[in-house]
Amino acid sequence: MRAAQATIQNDLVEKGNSISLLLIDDNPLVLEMIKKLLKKTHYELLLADDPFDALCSLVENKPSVVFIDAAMSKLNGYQFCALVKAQAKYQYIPLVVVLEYANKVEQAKALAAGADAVLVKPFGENELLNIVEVTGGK
Amino acid sequence: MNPLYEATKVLGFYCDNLVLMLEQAPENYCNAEVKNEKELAIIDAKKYSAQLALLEPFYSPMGIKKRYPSFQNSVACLGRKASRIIRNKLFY
Repeated sequence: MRAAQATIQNDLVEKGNSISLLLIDDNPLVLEMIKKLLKKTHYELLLADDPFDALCSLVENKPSVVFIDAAMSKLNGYQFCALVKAQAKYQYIPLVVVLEYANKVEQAKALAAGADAVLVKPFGENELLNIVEVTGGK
Repeated sequence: MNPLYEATKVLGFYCDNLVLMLEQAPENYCNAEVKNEKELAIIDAKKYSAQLALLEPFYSPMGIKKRYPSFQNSVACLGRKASRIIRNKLFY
């Protein structure tokens, strides 16, 4: 498992691009948990507990991949995806919607709103790395 | 409901609120009695105008610009007005 993770990370680093991840969740504890999960990686982590701050961060930093919690109070993950994907300038940024539980309806809703992938809680380091590889390591 | 429609509405309210707070910022500055509060008013004004500028790509093709035909001009004017008042207060 560890070897697989190291290979993925090395592949990403070898591509010569610094990979930045924008993590959006209105629960700071979840952000802290993801930060700990990715502590050993070389990714630049951008954390936002407010979706509007996150939109600003997206414009400023143009992250490689964005992880958005589906159930945020001010602006939910689906709305966030719809806003970003409506702008041609930012359509290329991969968006991953994070769901509380596996639910086909919610997954379909996320993809219809413009999400590139869906991640279901609880997830581990390996799942995060895989999804970054698939979406952002292009 | 269409998520883009909902998101546009929510963003509209958020930006309306930012504009109101930006309008309020020079007054907050003038009313502040402590230096620290004045500095906070300046920081807030800068934060609101920076946020509006960064959110611009998301609201400009949608409803907000229709509601505020000269939205960007208004923001720029407010920013100038705020900095003029603040400058006058700081140096004169």
